[in-house]
Amino acid sequence: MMKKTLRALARNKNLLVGGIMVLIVVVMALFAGLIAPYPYNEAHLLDKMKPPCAAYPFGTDDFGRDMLSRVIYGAQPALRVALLAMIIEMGIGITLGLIAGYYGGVVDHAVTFVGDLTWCVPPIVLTMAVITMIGKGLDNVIIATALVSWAQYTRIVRAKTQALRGMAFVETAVAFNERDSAILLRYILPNVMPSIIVLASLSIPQTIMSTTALSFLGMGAQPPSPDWGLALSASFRFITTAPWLAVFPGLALVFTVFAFNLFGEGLRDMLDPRLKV
Amino acid sequence: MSVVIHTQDLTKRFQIAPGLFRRSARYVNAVDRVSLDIREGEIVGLIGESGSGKTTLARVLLGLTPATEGVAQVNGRDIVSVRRAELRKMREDVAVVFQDPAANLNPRQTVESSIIRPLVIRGMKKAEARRKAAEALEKVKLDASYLRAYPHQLSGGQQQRIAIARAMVLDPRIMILDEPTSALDISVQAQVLNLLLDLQEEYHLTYLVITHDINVIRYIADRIAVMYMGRLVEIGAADDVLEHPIHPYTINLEQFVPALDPNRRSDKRRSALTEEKTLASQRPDACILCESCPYAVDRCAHARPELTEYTPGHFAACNRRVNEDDSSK
Amino acid sequence: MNDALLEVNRLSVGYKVEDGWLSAVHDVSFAIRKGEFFALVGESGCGKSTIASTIMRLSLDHNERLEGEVRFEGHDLIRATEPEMEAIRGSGIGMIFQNPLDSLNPVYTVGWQIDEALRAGGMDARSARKRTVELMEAVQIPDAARRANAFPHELSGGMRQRVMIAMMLSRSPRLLIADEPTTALDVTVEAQILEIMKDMRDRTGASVLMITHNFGIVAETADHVGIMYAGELVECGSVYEIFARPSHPYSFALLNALPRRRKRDGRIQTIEGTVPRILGESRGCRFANRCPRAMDCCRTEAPPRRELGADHWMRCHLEVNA
Repeated sequence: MMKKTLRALARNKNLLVGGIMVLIVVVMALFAGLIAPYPYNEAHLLDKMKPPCAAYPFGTDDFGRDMLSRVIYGAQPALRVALLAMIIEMGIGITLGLIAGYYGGVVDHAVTFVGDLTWCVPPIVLTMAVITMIGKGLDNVIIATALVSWAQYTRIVRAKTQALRGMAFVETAVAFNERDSAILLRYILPNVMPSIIVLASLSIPQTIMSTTALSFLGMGAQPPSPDWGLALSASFRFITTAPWLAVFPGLALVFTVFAFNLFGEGLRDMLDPRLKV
Repeated sequence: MSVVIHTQDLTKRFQIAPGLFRRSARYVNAVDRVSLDIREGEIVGLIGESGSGKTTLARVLLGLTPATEGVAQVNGRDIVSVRRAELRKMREDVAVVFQDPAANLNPRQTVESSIIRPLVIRGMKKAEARRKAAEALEKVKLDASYLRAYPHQLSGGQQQRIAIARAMVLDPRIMILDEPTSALDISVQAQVLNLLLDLQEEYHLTYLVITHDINVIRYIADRIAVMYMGRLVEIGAADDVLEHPIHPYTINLEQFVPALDPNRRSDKRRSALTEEKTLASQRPDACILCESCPYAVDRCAHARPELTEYTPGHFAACNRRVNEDDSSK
Repeated sequence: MNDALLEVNRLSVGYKVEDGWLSAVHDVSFAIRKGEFFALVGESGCGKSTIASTIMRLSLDHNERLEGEVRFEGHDLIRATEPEMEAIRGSGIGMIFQNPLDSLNPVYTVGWQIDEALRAGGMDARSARKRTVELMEAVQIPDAARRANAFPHELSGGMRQRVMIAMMLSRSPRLLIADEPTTALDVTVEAQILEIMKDMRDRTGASVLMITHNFGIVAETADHVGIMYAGELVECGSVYEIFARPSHPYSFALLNALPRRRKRDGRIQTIEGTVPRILGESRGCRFANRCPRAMDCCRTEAPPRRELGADHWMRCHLEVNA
């Protein structure tokens, strides 16, 4: 029992610390213009490749742009991709999951089959394939990521829907003539929601990581975007001479991913019905 | 008294082993040619062990799963030829309460939302529906403060009363109660059983009560139907079925029910007719008990017994008149 | 009572919860004689299962507070060390639960699991299997030699419970604790399991502590009955006494709430109100707020033990009248 209490506390800490860290990233993205000392694309031609100092705490890059400002602004593309991709994934994934899980049969087979196809290829490879088809750019990264990763929502929603479909309160609702759409939206979806929220918060760091990778490879954000992946890619050739160019965007990335992971785990512990009485 | 539920040779077939070709698939009849009439205002207890098909029968009658063949009418409406509009109309006369109190209510809806929902679906104004919900709560002897509660804040007994209130709110003529008290403690079970009896008398309802508990059935039922492996093996007035069971399965079952009295403890060793049988061993043209029945005759292995009236209103599906044969031995 | 196998003396169990100490079991005393079938009966949350797991010391941790003593063959189990407890769990006291599937390892055959228990006792593989089949036959598993090679999920609920009993018998326990062993089973299977347990008691002389909410099982099997309410043992006596003369107002009400009649003979009785949740020390009788015969003293003073006859007593302020 003592251990349980301690673990419960640790769980709350995940949520608390993760939440604060997420909040920091969100504030950075929303108020970048106010927080950052300079605009992200302002070139200080006299101060190229400065190591961290009082005027430029994170140093400057080969165009003389302030790295601190670029790291702060970099939160914007990261969060934008993560959130938009998440919304599209959810839209596709939840809808298909509800339909497949509730109706079963041929629809279910079809949805599951297509979903399984997206699991067969490493997601980053599949995303790159889609991008080669629809073109480079951050917006296309969002679309490609969503097309590749909706199936994780479908999988979990479908399984929960199947379980809920047989529950007495759903059958009772059918027996008093509730329509299918209402069954799905009023009875099943609210009970699936906690799992979806948890999944979403845990999938955000994945999306951020893969977008960064794509930007690093030149398929995502294009210069002069302050995107962290792009910054890592651009700093690559200075890694020995100007390591701060890679270190600070890298740290920002680690911080953000860690923040959402902590937060997601905290949420899961809080919302997981198995842990609640 | 008019018949409100009528089934004739009602069958629900499930596929158990998927076959690559239709011919190799295997099927079982979870409900196997059940013919049953329930009259207005009576309480029929449907008793059987797990796997007897009693819950499947209820789900067919509620239109939750389509029947495979046969006739099923509720209030004269045919529910086998599943016309959607017809089914929706039928459901307005039938309410249901399932076993698990916690699962009966949507965990994400307040008690009030749960109770008014059936009314709102029928087009009632929210304000009036709220008034009806408060009334319904009164009918199940809970005060209006429970309207704002969520299911997890309530005890099992309270949850089950609310499920009953939601069933009552539509003024149904028929209630199907699937193990309504099996998950409840004794004192709460007593409260819920008495409540159900009061409601039935006051509103002249018809109940189909499904349970495995003979003591509960003895208390509330007017007539008792016994199901075993998908078949209706015996049906009759409660006293007849309990005091003078005809079908060997019923006799066997009643022997096994623990008497609520240590002086009637059975100290003799009893052997069950039914251990380890599954629906897969169903044979369409034989009695389901033909291999283990102590009264079996040759005919039992190749003729399926049909329900036969032994005494007025008391039917059993047995190839032998067990009682007569006993007394002639 | 010097032929007592198990003596529970003034046992109290409290659990730390958010708002204090929840009194799960309070001042419970009873004894089980050798070869006796003792049923502890009550509604959910009355503490009957807590007593079972306390005897087995299954849940002892820092959030639990124990008082009193549990003596098994003279040894106080509350103060026993973990190695001593392991020895007692191994061969002194066996326990079966409602869901045998939780207690069986799904990746081994049931026969292997019984063998394992026997081999742990120093038997070689061949004679262990022979004994396993004997034990499985003893609990009336038909075709035992073949069924020994079955995995738990391949057996029906009743068969699994028989396997659990066989596994327990392999250690020849002197006390068998059964916590709602037949609740998940059909009546015919339930009756057979109870029969096997009675039969086991008759043959080995072991005692049985049956935890149940089902008075049918009590009437069918028990020699002695203890009725629990809100953590307290309110009445204790022989099964015939309890059914014929339930004297504590709660026992009386509970037995009258059983559906033992037909509706035309009148409604069964109900008990108004709900079970209180008791934090910390309680004053008076825990049933007082629902008791139709409660007096002033019931709310302030702990009820005394009233002797109602040989081996039949209750905890109640009501005077005993013949």
